[in-house]
Amino acid sequence: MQPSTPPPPIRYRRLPGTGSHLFTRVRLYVGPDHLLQVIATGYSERYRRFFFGDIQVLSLHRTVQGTIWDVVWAALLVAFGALALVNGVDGWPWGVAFGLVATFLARSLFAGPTCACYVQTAVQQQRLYSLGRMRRARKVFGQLRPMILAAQGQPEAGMGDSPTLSGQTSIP
Amino acid sequence: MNSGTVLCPGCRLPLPGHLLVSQTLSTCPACERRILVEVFPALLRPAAAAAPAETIVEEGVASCFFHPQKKAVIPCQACGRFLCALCDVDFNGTHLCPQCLEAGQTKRKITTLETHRILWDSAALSLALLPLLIWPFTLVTSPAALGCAIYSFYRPGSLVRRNRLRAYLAILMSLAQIAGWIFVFTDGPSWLLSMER
Repeated sequence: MQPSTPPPPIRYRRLPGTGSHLFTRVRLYVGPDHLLQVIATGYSERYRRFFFGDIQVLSLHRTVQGTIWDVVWAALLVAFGALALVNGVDGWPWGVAFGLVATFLARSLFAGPTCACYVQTAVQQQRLYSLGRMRRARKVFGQLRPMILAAQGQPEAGMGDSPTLSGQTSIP
Repeated sequence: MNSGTVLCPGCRLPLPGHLLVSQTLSTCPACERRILVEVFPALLRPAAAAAPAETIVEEGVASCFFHPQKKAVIPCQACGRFLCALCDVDFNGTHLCPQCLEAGQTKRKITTLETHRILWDSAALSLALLPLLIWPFTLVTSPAALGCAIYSFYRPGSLVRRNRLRAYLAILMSLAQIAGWIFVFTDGPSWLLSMER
């Protein structure tokens, strides 16, 4: 019964987004039957697996982090712009700083509002740190949805009518 | 966490049902955060009850390796031992005995049970590159980087990064540094003198 050859390595496909948490870099990968969250420190990697058959809920909530950064970048932009104008030709370093901050602000505005994403199974609710922007999170949810439904089967006809999901009864 | 309970991702309080079927951004009634919730059929799936192990009442029936008085229901897919319903661990469709499950995690025999890996190739590359900032340290670190890079070929690498580029780069860098130090200690002084002349 002992397998003579080792099983082939699992092929993972990287999902968009990179997050950070406590000096680590967090990325999401999709395997044949599970979602893999890789928390890398640089010299080691920790893995969390969420099997498609076990995922009950994917959820997110908007955060104000992006708005705060936008305000910070805008304030710096105004400050560096004013310094560049006041100093004229000699103020070129302020102009460079203005350009850099303008790039960061444009990037932040283009990426859209920030969010915090979670995956819930029967025994845990874990945050997906790599999904920090609403647009990207919804895109990834859209990619994961068919895989999860394929693993769990399509929702039953009466799923929306269940007391839990219909909202007729409050959940204890 | 109860089956069928969906928590608000912001405040962790249970959400009312009408928010779970909307599939659009809505507001949590408790914390008033904008939330989006996608519910899947597993939420309503009842938790599987563990089957009781049956006691052997007749002769000639295969028994469990760990409980000889219990009837075997399935063999372990890793070691082949017969298992009763109590010892059978269903790990994502693969039936394992508790010993193989433990070995899979501690001895890295089952990839999907691994939770941690050390990236020896990344360590080797850092050991080959970073000491260049304070170059005399490379006298010690270059052999260490070479050792680390060679060791990385015998250890499992990252689960998601398949190539060995970092290890090869570390070998090249460390060999170049070692060659440089050999030159310094052998021909270096005479070469410097000839250059001065």
